[in-house]
Amino acid sequence: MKKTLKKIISLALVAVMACSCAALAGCDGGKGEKVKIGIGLYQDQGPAVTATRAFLDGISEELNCEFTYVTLSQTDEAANKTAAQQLISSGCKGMILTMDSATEAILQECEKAGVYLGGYLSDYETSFDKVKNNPNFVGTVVDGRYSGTQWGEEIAERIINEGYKNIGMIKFPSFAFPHQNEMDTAFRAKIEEYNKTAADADKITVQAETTELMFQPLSADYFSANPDIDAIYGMCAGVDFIYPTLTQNNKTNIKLYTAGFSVDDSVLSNFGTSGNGCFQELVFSNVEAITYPLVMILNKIDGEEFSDNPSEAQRVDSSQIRITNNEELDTVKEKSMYYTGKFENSFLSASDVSALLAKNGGTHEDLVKAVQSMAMEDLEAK
Amino acid sequence: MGQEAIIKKTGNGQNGFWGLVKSHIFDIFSVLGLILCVVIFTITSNGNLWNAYNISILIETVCGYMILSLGALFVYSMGFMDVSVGVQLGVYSILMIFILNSTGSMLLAFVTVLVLALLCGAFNGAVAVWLGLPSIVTSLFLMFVFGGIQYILIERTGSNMISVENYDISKFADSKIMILAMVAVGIVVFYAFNFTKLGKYTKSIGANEKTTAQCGVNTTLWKVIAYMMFGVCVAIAAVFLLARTGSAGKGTGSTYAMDIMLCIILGGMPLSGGMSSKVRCAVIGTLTYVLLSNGLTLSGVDIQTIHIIKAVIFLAIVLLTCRDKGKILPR
Repeated sequence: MKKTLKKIISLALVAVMACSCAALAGCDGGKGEKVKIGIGLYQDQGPAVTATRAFLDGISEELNCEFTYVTLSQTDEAANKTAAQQLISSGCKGMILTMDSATEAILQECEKAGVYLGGYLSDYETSFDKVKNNPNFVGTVVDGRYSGTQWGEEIAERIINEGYKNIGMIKFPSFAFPHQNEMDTAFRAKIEEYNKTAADADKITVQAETTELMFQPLSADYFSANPDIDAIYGMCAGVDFIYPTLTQNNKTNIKLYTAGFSVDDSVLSNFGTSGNGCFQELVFSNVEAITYPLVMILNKIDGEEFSDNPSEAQRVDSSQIRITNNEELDTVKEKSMYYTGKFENSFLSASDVSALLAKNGGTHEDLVKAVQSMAMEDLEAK
Repeated sequence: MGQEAIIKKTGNGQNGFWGLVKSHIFDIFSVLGLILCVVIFTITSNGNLWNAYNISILIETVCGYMILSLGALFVYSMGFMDVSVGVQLGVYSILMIFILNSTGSMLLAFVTVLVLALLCGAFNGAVAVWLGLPSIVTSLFLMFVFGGIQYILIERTGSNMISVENYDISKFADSKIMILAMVAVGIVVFYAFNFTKLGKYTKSIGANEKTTAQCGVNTTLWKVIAYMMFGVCVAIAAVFLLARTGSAGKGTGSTYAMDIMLCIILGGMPLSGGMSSKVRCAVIGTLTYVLLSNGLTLSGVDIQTIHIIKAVIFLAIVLLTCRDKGKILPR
């Protein structure tokens, strides 16, 4: 029996190696003429990854690029440096990374190898001031707006208009997401301003101290400590960290205004007036925002520069899709690449991206405008 | 070699070439695995595997894993494991940064983490015996404690990571220094594992703890020493891990506990430990593990495919090297 098992396993090993050989044979590492760009994402699957890959696949031919992917660690700097080093070793001329982790060490490697680095849906909060003048750093496109103030105020206005009276506040820790403090402050300031003139019966109570989730789902104890809340402002990723707890504790009568998005039907079927109606607002950034670091890197590789090129690397805001009602959700389902995963639904075509390159007459202003013209109204107008 | 010698060598009464092959089947598998990785990735990476830059990053990556795997041999040869090593590395890195930034003394930073690592080793080894717990339970306890400390330390900085500011830690990331460190640790571990009571008793505990104790060996003492030996290697590895990035955060080191287990298993060492534990298991396993990750990425293999390949190989090796049907996992 043991011998048979060993034989089976040995065969399995051989099969695995054969599969890997087949996979390797399928990859086109030998096309030297294409510019190789490494993409480091913090996830290896999910709708954002699918859409990002679909977008890059869609523009690769026009830009004469090929993209190679690695998964970054959200917490391990050494692992991220290794991933970046491997991209450099594999011949990448540029790298676009979603994590600001070991950035200075990675840039040292980039300088040695003549490789350029850009950020994608990350504000590079920790290292930006230290690296913005590094010639190998091309800048980053932020996950939405750098400042959280505007969204905090917008949610407060919705809460006021929709008449909720007891609001729960949940966010990630400040040390990891400092801009959620700005959302929190702006939200409270707006509510406080409203309360000054509101009748006693209409005043809104906001949870005194915002709950911080240490990247763990919300605890069921939250409802014992906050028994009367009728809505939650989830500045963190509420789809994954708040909603499951609401469901498990039969608290889906509490309305959730939160960052994040999911293509999962269990989420979308409970949005707005549908299903349990728990979700009232979802927000996501467009994967097409990767155009910013990509174009900046390709300009560097081409040895070209915009006529209005900034003197130092920039941290550029990107427009987000805010879904606030069922009609908007339907629009997202029909037209957003994030949901469909199809390049044909992209905000930018391959030729649009190509036209943004400096060698084709593009400017930095055009590029910034492109990544900031992808809001709900732009989606509806498509 | 006479028949008697062959019988002694093979230990199962089978003589001749096939007897030798059978008795070294795990070693053969592990060496073949390494050779296979080298050959396949040399071809599929279009030569990138052996360019000067990639060799330097291979050395950089191997260094930490190698030192940890060599230290972990003493623990794994007893059939035990230490899942706290990852968070220990994280906390030690952060502590070293604090000390370096405030004093600029590398010696003080290293001695501090060495003392802590030795204490943790002693705790892991002794408390498990005194309380009659499986050693994995005490290491789990340490994992949670250190995980909490790591979060608190980072949170107090007000950022999600901290960097070395007042000391040039990058000199420890030099390839020559790293090779020197690996060789030095390798020689010490090779000697201790093969020619001292420590190595003999740890393997013996892994083979049969009761019998070892009945032979008059103080198994508690040797367990503690084995864990402390691992602690020394963890402290040394922390220096090189920190040197790679000059920074540490809330998740620094988090993956190392599992990675080390993978390295050792890929080297052909049975999870149940025992007399077939060898230093070369750590060496070959570490090289294979790093080459596998590096080579698959250089060859442009899809991320999901990399995960699948690693998972299947891991599963196959575990099943192959498990000595006892009833003891797949370490105690």
